[in-house]
Order: sequence, then structure tokens, then C-alpha cells
Amino acid sequence: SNRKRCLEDDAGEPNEHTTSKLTSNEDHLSKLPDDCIRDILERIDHADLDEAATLSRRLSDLSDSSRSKAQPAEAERLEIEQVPPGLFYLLVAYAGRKFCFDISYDGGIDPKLCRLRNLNSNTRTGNSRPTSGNANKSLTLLHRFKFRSCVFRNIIINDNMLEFIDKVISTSFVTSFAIVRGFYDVQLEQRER
Amino acid sequence: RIYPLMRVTLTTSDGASVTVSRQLTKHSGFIEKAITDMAVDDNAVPLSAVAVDVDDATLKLVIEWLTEHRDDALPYPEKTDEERRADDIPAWDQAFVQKWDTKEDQQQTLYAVITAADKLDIKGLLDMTCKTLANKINGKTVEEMREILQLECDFTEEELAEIRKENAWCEN
Repeated sequence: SNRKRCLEDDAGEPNEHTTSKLTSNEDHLSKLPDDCIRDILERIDHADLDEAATLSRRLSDLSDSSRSKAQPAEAERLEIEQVPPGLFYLLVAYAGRKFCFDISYDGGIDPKLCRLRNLNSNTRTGNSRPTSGNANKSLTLLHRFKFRSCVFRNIIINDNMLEFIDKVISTSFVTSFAIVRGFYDVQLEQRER
Repeated sequence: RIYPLMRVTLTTSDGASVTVSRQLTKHSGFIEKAITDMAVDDNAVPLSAVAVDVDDATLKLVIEWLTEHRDDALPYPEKTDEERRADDIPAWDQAFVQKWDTKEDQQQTLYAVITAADKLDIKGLLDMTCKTLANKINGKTVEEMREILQLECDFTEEELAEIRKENAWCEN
């Protein structure tokens, strides 16, 4: 095959095959189907997917759709605090650092991430950023974690709370959980199915 | 029923042909389908005629891998919902792909084999080569990934800044 290629080059008539090998802006990945690239991306972790998402438009889309299969990072703890009416603080403790997702939810409509706060003392002040347009995409940031423990604060078990859990928690990183005191665990388990 | 002594002739995009045992080709969903569905004459499968652009050098590597893996169980296990991993490549396979890892090659061989495995529907080989590429980009910076994947950025500066902002949420 090399010989054949050389002959074509000498003749100055590169065919499609030779051009693809020689042109620098022709990348290898463009020839691979989406499924194949997703298979590769599903095997790297979320931090690597962050990087991969900045490579190109196609890689950005494929990185997003690979998130659900990528290895979640193991976080120490999730604290869920309910701030009526309709606001939830989800505090994530991960690798010695803390972040808080402020999520508004008052039934019916989709949960909305209002703010993402970085609570680490050694960071610049005012490092909380209101999230703009892509709030639901930001919410998928939660999917990159699995939690060793989960703590509830100020929780009032009502329809709103249960629906919130249904929409935000159970679909992302908690496969099953129960509130230990009282009869709520029964309700929650039923809710999950 | 597969007859172990049956031979299959494969013709590549660059006109070379190679005859191999059906014991090897049974691992390729594509070749098996070609043999059974298309009723090819004398079990000769012209790969180029069916939009499978596999060159001679790549086919040799595919056959080398198939020879080593001829006794692998079929059908290949379906993907489960479990987390994907990339750290379980068998030693022989690791050594096999290591040989392509030269400066001049720049992953060309790896991509050629991934593409061939995908087109020929050889699930085990596709799995292994995808894992190899995943391991190459694992833990790398964006510049290193770009180098390995030879990708050109098609984002505008503004779009890139927006994506970085979305993703840099937990960095100090």
C-alpha cells in the first residue's frame, strides 16, 4: 500500500485517501461514529470530560452525553437543607472543599439552579456566581458525584419535598435512601419506584 | 454452524487479499453477515465493495489480534449499565498496541484499527482499542488531549470562555 501511495504522490494526483493522511486539519476522530467516541469518553472521569468538552463542538456534545456513564467522584457528604418556600440548599463536601447548589423548586416546573457557591475560605471573596441561561446544564454538575453520606436539615416532608427528591436526587446519584426516624422512609421508598 | 476448516478470503481497499480461517472471521459480525446474507462466491468477501475501507496493513493487525483471540467466547458480552472502565486490558493486548506507539505514528495505527474494528463489528477489538485511547487521554490537559486526538478547535473565544466557566465551578 505504501508503494501505491508513493506512486500517486509522484503523479501529483493525490486521491481522497492520501489527502486525508496528509492534510493536518483532518483529524482522526472525525471519521469515528458518535457511539465509538462516546464509548471512549465514558471511560474517563468527569474532570477529564471537562477538558474534553472544550476541544470541539462535537466533543462538547459527546462529553455531555457521556456524563451519566462516566465514573462519579466520591464525595464525603451531601447536606440537604430546605428553605421554605421552595428553596433548597445542597451542600457538597468534596476533597476537603465545599460547594453549595441553591436550587429553587416549588412544584410542577423543573428545578432551577439559582446559584452555585464556592464556600472555601481560601478562595477569592464573592466567588458565588449566579447561574445564567444554562441552569439545567449546571444542575447536571451534581451527577458527577456519589456521596458517602447524606444529611437532612430543616426538612419538612411535604409534596414539594418529595417531588424535589424525585426530580433532583433520586435521578442523579442516590440509588436508595431512607430517613431513619419515623415513617418517612416508607413514603420515600414508595416514591422512588 | 461454523466449519472450523472453512476459509474466507478478504479483499482490502488497496487490492490485497488474504485468506483466513472461519475460526477467526466468526468474531467479525460484519464478515459473518456478509457470508451468510450475501451468499458470497467461494467465501470471498471484498471489504471495499461494502464500504469498509480497511487497508492491507490494518487488516494484518486485525488478523493478528483475531488469531490471539480466536477462542474468545461468543457472543461478546453486552454492555451493562455498570460504570465503564479502561484498566482491564489483557497483557497480550497491551503489548500488541504498545508496538504502534511511536512518535512517527501519532496514533494513526490505533485510529485505523478502531475504525476497522467498528466497521467489521469486532466487539472485543473495538472495546480494547477504545479503552487504549481512553487511557491515553485520561488525566491529560486540554492541550495534550488536542495533540493526541489531533483535533482543531471550532469554538469562538466567547463560547470557549462560557464552557470553561460552566465547568470550572469547583476549582480554587
